[in-house]
Amino acid sequence: MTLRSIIWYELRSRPWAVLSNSLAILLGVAALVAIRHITVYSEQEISQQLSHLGANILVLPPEATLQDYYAADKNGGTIPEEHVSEIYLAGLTGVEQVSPRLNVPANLGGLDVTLTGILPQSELEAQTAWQTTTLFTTPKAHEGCTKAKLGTADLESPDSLVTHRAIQNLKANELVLGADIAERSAFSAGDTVELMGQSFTILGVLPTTGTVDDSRAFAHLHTVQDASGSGPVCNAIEVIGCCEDAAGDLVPQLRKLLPNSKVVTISQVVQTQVGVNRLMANTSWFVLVVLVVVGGTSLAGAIAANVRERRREIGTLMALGATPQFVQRLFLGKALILGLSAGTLGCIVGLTTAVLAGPAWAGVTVSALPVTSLLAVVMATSLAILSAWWPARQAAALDPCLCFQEV
Amino acid sequence: MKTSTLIPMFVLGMCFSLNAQQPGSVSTLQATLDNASQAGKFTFIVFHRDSGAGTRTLYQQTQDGIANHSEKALVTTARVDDPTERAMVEKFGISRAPMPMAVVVAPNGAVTGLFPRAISGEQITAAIVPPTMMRCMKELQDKKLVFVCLTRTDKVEVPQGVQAVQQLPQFKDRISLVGMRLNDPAEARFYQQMQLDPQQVNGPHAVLIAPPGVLVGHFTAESSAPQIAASIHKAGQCCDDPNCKHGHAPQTTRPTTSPR
Repeated sequence: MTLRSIIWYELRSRPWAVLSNSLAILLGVAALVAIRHITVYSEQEISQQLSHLGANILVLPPEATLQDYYAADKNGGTIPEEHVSEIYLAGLTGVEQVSPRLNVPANLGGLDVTLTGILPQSELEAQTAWQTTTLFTTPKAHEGCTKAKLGTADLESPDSLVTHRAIQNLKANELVLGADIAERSAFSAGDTVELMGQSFTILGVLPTTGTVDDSRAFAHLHTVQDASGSGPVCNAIEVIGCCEDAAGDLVPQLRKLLPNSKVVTISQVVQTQVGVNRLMANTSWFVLVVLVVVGGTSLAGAIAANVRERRREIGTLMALGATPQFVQRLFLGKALILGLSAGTLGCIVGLTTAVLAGPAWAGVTVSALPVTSLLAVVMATSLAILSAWWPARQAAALDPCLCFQEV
Repeated sequence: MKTSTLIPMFVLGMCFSLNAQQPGSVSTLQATLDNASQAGKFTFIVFHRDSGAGTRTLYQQTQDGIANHSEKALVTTARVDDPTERAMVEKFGISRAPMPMAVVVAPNGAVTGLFPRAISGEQITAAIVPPTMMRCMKELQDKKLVFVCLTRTDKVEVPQGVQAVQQLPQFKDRISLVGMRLNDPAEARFYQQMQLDPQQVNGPHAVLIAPPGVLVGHFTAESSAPQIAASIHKAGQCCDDPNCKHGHAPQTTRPTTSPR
């Protein structure tokens, strides 16, 4: 028998012992891989939000939480849609764009989706004209942000929902699909679909964003309000300030104007997310320590016990001509296979958890990070070999004569 | 209840009941606006959803406030959910606005004020704007760039640079010229709004205002077309913030695709 065949025979003959020996490593690697994947993608998401959303402000129901900017409008509470008009009527300096949103659950061709009601900017043009009255009839001089509205640049395409969080035109019976929904339902632009008992024509499909918007369908706010029977309300109003400075000044003014709502900036939401990410990063270090201590100790203890239990078999092997190096390699080889398989399996479990739970836990779409996954497997294998090193040396140092005397 | 309180409530009730029309009939509000336009008067429309205390209070405030401007203004009411007034409600964009609301419409159709729930005497006075300001507001609400050309005579002198900009393809359909006399006391408020000292104006002088009401700059006979065009492009920026997302590209064109 060769070294390899002895190891395989040993593993096959004691499957439950193998499983219990490697369980701590498997679970540790799974937790580590899942947390690291979600943390990395969540950090990327934050950086993307900061670069794309800049001076955005959210007006939310008072009970809303600030877990995620993109999912902040999915808290369940509502605020009156007339807040949109109140914001325009107040003539606040720096208000460039106001976008209300309402989310309701819906079923599209057998798929459970979130239907998000949005108001096209074309229907807010009258409100934009209201700013003229404010600028001309208020006694104080207009200060601060002085951006002229010289066009509706960039809002004509459905893609503007991703790039500018608004769209210029959207008819009552038109629908825009997020990338995931379009892929899963196989619907495309121009198709007619039934949703909440109404017929919609798909205006377009959004590019992949890696956010919860991928799993949303967008329709006219008033259509969604009528179909859901919610009345003239929305879950959130997004106010786009024309620059960071203006947005900073806008927040206290909006809080004063809408005292029964929660007014937050993108940076505040991002700060919350940064805190969550920091916690997750620290947790991943903690899990690593647990993996090393618990996994390593557990495996070392199991192999040491195995050596003690099998002294006579080891003695027989040595009596038959096995060298101490052969015996040591036998235990180290077993540890190598345990570490490699537990690491690989743990990596697969962790990755699957991250992919499935990422959108729900952190609102991010997760895909495999090869380097992180490989490092986790290498680390688990190294840990297993290191843990087995001392018991393997003990086994190699056994005297076959003493082993037989115990019989 | 005192008789003095009951009378306005009765009149208001009559107004509300008369304004609640059957679907398919002609808009009373449009007719009122047409009459006011012919008479050169500002119309204060009290839009409401019900005839509750809030509506009555706003109506009374408006009625009291325009008492001093009766030669220039009149007040009317309209239900925001009246099917016959739907076109007007949509035009003003107030279907989902807080109610009651007073909307002020100038004789030329410009909206010069919107006041939800309450209106003060100062707001009423401010909403009755001078003639040139009224014309400018109308053009701005139609998304035009307005050059206010100043003159001391009946002849309007337009700076050459402004004339040249008017011929540029990207601006020719979007520019409106409005003449204004420099010695008209009625326009004093507008001079202040345009940061203008009439004594300093010599020769052709135009003030450019961009939607929604941003003062872009003053241009004289020395101003060239490229200078004026550059000022218009710069107006698309919101501030001097170097990170301003509007500061990198002119906003006067409409790209067909999103820059991502």
